[in-house]
Amino acid sequence: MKLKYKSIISINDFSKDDIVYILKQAYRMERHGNEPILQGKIMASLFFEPSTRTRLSFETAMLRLGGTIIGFAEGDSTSTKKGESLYDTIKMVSRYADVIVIRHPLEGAARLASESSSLPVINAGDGTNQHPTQTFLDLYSIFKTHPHLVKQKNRPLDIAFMGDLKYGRTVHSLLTALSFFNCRMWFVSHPTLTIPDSYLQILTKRNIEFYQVEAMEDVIRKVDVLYATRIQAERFPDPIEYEQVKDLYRLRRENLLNTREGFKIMHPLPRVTEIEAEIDKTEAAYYFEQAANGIPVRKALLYLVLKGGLRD
Amino acid sequence: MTDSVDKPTYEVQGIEYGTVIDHIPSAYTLKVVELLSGLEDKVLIGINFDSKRMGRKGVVKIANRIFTEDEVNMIALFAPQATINVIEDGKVVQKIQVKIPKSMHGSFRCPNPQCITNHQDVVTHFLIDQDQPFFIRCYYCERQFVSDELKLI
Repeated sequence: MKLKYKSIISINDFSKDDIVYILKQAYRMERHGNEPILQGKIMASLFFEPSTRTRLSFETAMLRLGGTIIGFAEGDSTSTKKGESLYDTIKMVSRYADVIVIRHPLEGAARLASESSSLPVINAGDGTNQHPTQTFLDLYSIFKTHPHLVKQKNRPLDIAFMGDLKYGRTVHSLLTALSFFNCRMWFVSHPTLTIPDSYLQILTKRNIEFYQVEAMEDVIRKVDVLYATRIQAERFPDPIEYEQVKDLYRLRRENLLNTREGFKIMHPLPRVTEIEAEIDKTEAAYYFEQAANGIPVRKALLYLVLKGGLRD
Repeated sequence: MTDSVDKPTYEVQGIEYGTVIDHIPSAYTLKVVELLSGLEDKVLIGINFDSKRMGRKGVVKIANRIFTEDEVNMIALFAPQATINVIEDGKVVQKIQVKIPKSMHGSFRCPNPQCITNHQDVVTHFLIDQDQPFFIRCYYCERQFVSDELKLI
């Protein structure tokens, strides 16, 4: 797939080959270092809602490659407040920049932005819909720690998803992308937060073996990666129930006994109480490296949409 | 009387020129009326008519209107078995089997209140997965819906 001048809107727009290509580009970018290969290019960073981690990661990636940034960090300060349509804002910015990165509270906003401009648009999160660069960095983290993922002949990668599987955008996008690869999935959640059927149908269609369980203890020794997510209090009508559920899905150091060699815990962050701080010192803790992987992944995507692929 | 699909006399009168939509599930008959007819149209509606194929069915006759393929295919979302009979001079001149469309523009509102199409001046766009049972996906917010959730704009 040629990504030059293309927009990155949804993980559903990418084939398995596209995903592998992007992950390889991120790997090259990581070895490539910080040469100013995007010097003279301007990234418009349009954050209609605040997202510190994603914004800083995109802006760091652009600056490290020698590019410059224009934009805003929250919707309140923009002309949207004066009633300007998203279409008009994007049309206007298109005359100033070379690439647009957009974060918006409404679902589908990034798709609309990409239709409003001839510039490549990168979706940095549209409501609870898509956040493709997060999915790519999650995949990259799995690919880096378990390279056998992309080799079909080896044993499947076992991955468990834990926490809010019903509303968790990162989980839905990641499992969709992972379903192209040789893996087995375990879904660990409270009965009120189980994975929606539509996603299980995708897995069935792609012949992915999966299991749904309630207790983390049942799976933690059987998997290579545990992808934990935050359970939000507002999902529970009864605050007492929330308190109980929250404790059931909290990883403690003693849970790590007898886990597989190379076992890694991942988390899209921010975490609240899902992983106790004691775990941070262990080999299994990967979530901060995972967040750091956002830089090579976003560098690769910015370079791909602005200039095409990086050669060895 | 039109030379329609089920010959037995309908309890509603025939039309000289227009369209007869036959084999509608009874429960969706009024939905089809809502989808296709305009305020000024002369419409004859039959609900719970006997049908060999369906047991009970709905029939809608809209005088003086001939629809485009896109317009009639929209009703396949609610009445996938429906047949369209184009009537001229009181006779059926064309019979069309409705097909589930691949995509739809405008017509329906996205049921997701957080979808950008409900907040900005954007023409809605839905993609329809042809698998059975089919599902409808908003091109913008990517949420999946069943036809009963769709409301006309």
